[in-house]
Amino acid sequence: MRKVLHALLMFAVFAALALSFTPGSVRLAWAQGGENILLYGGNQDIDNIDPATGENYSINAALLSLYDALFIVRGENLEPNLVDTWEVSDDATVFTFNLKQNARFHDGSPVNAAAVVYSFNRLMTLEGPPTYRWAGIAGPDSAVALDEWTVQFTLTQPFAPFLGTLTQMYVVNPAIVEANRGEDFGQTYLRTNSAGSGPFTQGRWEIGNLYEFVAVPDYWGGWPEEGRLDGYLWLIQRDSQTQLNSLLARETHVADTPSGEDIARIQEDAGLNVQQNFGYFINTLKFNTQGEYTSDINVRRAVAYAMNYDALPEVLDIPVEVMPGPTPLNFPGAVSGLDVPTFDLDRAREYLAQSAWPEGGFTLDYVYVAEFTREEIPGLVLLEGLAELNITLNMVPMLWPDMVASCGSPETGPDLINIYTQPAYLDMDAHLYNQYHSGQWGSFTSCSFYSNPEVDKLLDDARVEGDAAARTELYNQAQTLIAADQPSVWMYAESSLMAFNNCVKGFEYRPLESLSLLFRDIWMQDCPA
Amino acid sequence: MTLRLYLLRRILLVIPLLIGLSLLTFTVSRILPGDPVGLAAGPQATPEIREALARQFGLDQPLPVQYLNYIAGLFQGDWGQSLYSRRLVLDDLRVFFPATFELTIAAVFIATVLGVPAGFMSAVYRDKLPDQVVRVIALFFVSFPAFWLAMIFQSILGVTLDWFPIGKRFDVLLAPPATITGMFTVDALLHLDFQAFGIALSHLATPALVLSFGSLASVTRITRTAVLDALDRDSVRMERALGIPYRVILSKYVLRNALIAILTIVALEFGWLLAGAVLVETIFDFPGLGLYAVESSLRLDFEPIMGITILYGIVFSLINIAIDIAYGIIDPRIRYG
Repeated sequence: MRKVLHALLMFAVFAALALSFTPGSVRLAWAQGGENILLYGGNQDIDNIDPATGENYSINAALLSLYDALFIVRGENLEPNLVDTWEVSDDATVFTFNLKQNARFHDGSPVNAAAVVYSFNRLMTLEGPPTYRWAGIAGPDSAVALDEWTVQFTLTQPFAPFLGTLTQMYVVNPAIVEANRGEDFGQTYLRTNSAGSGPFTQGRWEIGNLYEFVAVPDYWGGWPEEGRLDGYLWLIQRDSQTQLNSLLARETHVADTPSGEDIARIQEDAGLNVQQNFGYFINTLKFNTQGEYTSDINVRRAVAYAMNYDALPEVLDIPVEVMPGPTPLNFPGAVSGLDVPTFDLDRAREYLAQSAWPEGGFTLDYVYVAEFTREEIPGLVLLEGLAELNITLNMVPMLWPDMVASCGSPETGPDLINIYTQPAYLDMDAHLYNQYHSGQWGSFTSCSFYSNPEVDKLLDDARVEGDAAARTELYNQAQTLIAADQPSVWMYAESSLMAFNNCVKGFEYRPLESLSLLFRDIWMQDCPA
Repeated sequence: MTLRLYLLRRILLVIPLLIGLSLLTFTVSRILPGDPVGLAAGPQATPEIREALARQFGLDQPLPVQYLNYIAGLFQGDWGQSLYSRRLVLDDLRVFFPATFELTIAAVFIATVLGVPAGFMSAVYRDKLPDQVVRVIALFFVSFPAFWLAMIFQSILGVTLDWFPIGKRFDVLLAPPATITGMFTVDALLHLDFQAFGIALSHLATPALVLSFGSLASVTRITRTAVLDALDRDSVRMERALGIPYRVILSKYVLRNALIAILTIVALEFGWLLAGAVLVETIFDFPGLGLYAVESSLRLDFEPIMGITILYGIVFSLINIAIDIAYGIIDPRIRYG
């Protein structure tokens, strides 16, 4: 017994000694990392870097570093990336792209038309999450290489927004995928290995912990004149308190999702700054327009007028901008001046009086993600307003998978559901089609089960229309009709927060992919050791 | 029955236990409402994309077939695949389990090294000042939530004093020691790399300390009770009457009698901490099994949930067997049968 105790004691002493020596060495290593290794505190894991099957903000940030797509979003603009020039047929069905001839994969082979065709074919064959952009308009055979540098897409039906979707069509190196094809078209390999032409290659890849990206010094697309990173580490930091502490202790340079409550604390530190921008990440309450009460437009309008919109920025823990209609005003093509409800209980009563339940006396379910206060609080605000109309709001917290499941059909769809949406490409189609076209029922973005044949036709016509001005007009009409039908209570655009050390330069806000930092445009200057 | 036969029997008994466990987990995870396929397929997936995904994962087949396929795969070393990340479950477990195991061992070590002497002292000085102090401290630690202590310790030790890293298992700019066991401190020692050992230990220190607090209180209190119980025995009175020095009585007879209870609580705590490390893992970005388990559960990611359950089943069974053997070593009167 005594021997065991002695051994334990020895170990404890040894451990204490080791501990007392280490903190210094840890700091030293940090300083040795070099001025140009950016340490990025990312809230989310990068589960899967296969461009055919992975899709979320962290995966997209990684894909933007490792791969190149035909187009890229910089700021609010769509820019050609691998593409040099392009032509679109008048009926928006045939798209012909001439590729830049200097683009090279990391192994030195050219990024040519055959590679683009191969990548699109792979995407459409695997039918992974990113493919919804082309569902029903293209198949595995839609892309053809006309010559080494020309690729042509012939869609099965006209689709004018096609260019915008190509920011998510990352080109893979066919030789590498084929060498690792296996039985699943290279999915196992590409899940954790890249085969791209992007400005970074993979370094250490520690699942669930950190991911290292190493700059390609002679990247074919070039680097910003002012400088570039030597590489960056994506450190998974799930807790916002930990993100804050790391930033304050200079253990990281960027925190990607600081909480709204931390803004003041970060701003107190002269060496840090917070970038706060309003983007296209919007919160809406969707009515089940096929529901018992909420199928009545007057009930929907009454509820929308009972929402105290002005209270939202005060009660939420993150800066928000109240929405002026179905589309955030900074989205290209948004219609301003629509007749949308403001907080006005008299108007609410007027609408309720015109419904089948003029005295109220019924209960509506309000479904939100359990424990997610940012969705719960707006419900409590609405509950107060509806109480004045003698309408009871039943708060129903749910797990996210259950919420998704409940949107499967109008029968299971809740009366009101709080949902965040974000368009997937820079075109009004991405914003309206999946939410308001009746062909989209079943997915959670269309949980209002909205159906207006006129709107359906406008949205369909806009997909076919090649002329930009004519498309804008179609979308203007669609937005006006949707606003009049009130299938949702349009709540707010949430600000996108990112906290930086002041030594990080080159950040440009991209409202479309607001959380996916474009590391290829970032550099560092005089970073503190 | 010899020890070897006993061991064989116990190990064989683990198999039906695991089958029962897997059946239970499988059933519960499948009857829960929710649409994990829709979730994994992405917000705007068409029905065709969702069906393709379900087909790929065999989720379009009847439940009994799915279960049998899963069990058949398990015996061939195929623990399935995450619906969400599409990584192999076994690969993930290999990465995440050693981290949590290391953290838990360190926490149990701290709880034992501090808790047993504290409880022992508390019992020996029953109702005197040392006893009162220990009891108040134990109450303090047991009543504070771990995540709150984690945040406080991180802020104080990591930011204000800058003694320890904020999080992670190793200095992010350095490569961790080459994997042998997956436990960084152990691997560093096996490579005789003492600098790496120091770095790994400094990263382990704060989370292990925070994780140990809850158990520290339990170990202290159980030790106190067990020692008091041993002290009250007639044999101790007899030994004192015989003039055996009190120090010898305490270390040779009392502690030994109390050891079974202490061992039991330590083993129980080990199990609790192994399963309950998730909050500490989240705050300290410690990429372990707890985080993996919670994320998989929130997404209803079937096969990782199954894999984690089975792995925990195996670990708990092995701990129980080890404890049973240890009982026999501590108390030779115990017979296996």
